[in-house]
Amino acid sequence: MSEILTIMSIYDITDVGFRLLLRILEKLAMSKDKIEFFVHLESEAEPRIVEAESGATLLSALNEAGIPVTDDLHIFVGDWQEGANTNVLGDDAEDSHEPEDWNKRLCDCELGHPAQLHCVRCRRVRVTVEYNGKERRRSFSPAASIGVVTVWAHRIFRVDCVDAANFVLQFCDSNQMPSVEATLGQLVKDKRCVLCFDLVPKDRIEGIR
Amino acid sequence: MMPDTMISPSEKTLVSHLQGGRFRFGVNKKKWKLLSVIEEGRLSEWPHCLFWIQAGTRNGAPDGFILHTNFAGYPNDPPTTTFWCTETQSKLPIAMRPRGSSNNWIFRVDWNNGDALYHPYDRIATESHRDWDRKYPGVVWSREHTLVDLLELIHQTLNSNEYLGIGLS
Repeated sequence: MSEILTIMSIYDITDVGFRLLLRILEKLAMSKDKIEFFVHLESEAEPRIVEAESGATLLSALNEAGIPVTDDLHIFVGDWQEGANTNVLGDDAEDSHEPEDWNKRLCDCELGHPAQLHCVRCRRVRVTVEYNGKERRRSFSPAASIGVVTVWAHRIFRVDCVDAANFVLQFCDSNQMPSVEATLGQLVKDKRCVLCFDLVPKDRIEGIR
Repeated sequence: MMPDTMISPSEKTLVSHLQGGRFRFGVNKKKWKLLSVIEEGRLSEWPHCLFWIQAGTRNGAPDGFILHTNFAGYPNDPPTTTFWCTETQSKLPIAMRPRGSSNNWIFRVDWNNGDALYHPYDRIATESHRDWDRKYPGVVWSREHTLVDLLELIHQTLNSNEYLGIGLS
């Protein structure tokens, strides 16, 4: 410690300057570290697993991984749970998640746990859920999962917590149910950026004993 | 030592799914883990595979269970799964299995000695319930399903209000 103080006084480095220098050195060291993250793409059920230097930009990391980045693409980072926790439940409500600057470095992004990116043409996904003859809507981030939308649907239709586990989302006009981990960005089919679900009772499997 | 035989399409598909994004995503979220070994693209115990799966906290119950799954015919046919004890290398005793509150508990021990899940995602259950295709079209296994759909079903059940802990009901 005394050596550090001596060096600081010799080179007239203030405490603030020293801390800044340490931070820069730390970032330089980290930028060579590799990080592994998942990339969710439109219409792909399997997220891709990508490894890149943490100092790489979002754009360069995706290009290196062979993931095409077109002008109309938005890149979102992390997962987004706002819809599950919000008290703003009107039909015009919208998530506040914004896409990232493509030139932002991975190490400067809040990639979440697991670390993940979402590459989609939709800035928002307009979700309609139907239940008991009623319809409710919200504009979600493409990074929101079916799990988040399900919790929102339970809240907005006031399905109480005891019954909630027995109600799941099913694609409208279908008997298919999306996976709880699927993101809205993965599920959208086109640039209209809309999805429709029914909130239905889970199948209760009965049979011979 | 691995037998020097051609790898079957089923094993190849399963290994690719185990190395794929959906499965690895669940591992990262600590929902499940692969316990079996993959060596040179082959599963050490094919067609069997062992997983650890996380369970909700309940008094006196473990934080997860071991699954023993047979993937013969995968993905065209659903796998079949039972709970496992790695110490004895045999089925988990009934007293140590998860128990549930509903009459539709998929880990029933009063059917087939608990040797399979009571759900269309299980091959043995499906073979003895031919009407399930018609009654439950939304959960019929198809070749578009993967082991992750099975693991998600089990994980959600073990983290639901239905799951009460271990022991006989």
